[in-house]
Amino acid sequence: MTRLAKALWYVLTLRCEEADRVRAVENAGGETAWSERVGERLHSSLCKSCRIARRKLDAITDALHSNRDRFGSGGDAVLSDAAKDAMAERLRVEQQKNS
Amino acid sequence: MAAGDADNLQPTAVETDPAQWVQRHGDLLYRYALARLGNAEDAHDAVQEALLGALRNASTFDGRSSESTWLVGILRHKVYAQLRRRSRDAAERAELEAELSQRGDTFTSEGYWTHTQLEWRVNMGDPTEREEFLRALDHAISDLPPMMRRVVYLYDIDGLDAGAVSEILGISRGNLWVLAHRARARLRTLLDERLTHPQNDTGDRNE
Repeated sequence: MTRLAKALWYVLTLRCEEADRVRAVENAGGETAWSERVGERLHSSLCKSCRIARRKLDAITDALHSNRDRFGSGGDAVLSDAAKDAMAERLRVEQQKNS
Repeated sequence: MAAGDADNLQPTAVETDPAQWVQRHGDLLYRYALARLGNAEDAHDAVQEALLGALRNASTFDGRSSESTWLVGILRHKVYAQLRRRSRDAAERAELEAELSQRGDTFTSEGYWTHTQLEWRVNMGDPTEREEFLRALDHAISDLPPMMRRVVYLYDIDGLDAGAVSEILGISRGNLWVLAHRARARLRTLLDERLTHPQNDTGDRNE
């Protein structure tokens, strides 16, 4: 009974910061308690900023998971010619050793 | 083909020319490592190790994937091994503690938003809007603090499960969720700045 009362108190007193934490963990695929999920939904139904924040988190996660190849490449950095030459030389030496 | 031959088929080694690897795939491999390690020297070392590893195992390349995919697969293990080694480093532990202790200014001390959340919606069906959003998100990921960025790369982009990410980064499952939560919140704030105040952007989205 005490546990249930604590869970209900949590649901009814949840604030934006905690609601945002719960939805971000849930959004990332982490485990959340039923009282956290219920509290977050109840809070978001009453709080416009939290509803907007939730939509944005969903958009970010969808974009990350649907475009993995796009984000894995790490920008426009390139190896210098000197670094390429050094790597190629090291490979050539190793290849000669093995042949 | 005689009955049962299919069961005896082994992957066949396909011709791959190590002399061409650096010119053909060096930049791709370097970018992959740099994104995850965040340090040019370490990225360079990881690529070199991966290429030497590939040379030793060139006979295992069977052509079922492209040469670059095969090389990235080898590099991935080298990058994760470096991250494992780093997770035992005192400076890395201090960086982790610092990121975990940051509270930020998104919420008041009472737990309410300090600013009303600004709306932005993305129509991913529109190629221009989609491209603009993905580019802004890509920039935002690179602006994340190191540990949060690694969590995003390993968990969200490389698709490793939570247990594997915790093990590679040397963090508890609880801390992984804290970092995943804060990384998402930080990405949202960075995107707010880029998408609701486009004049603050660096301008490269108009290229």
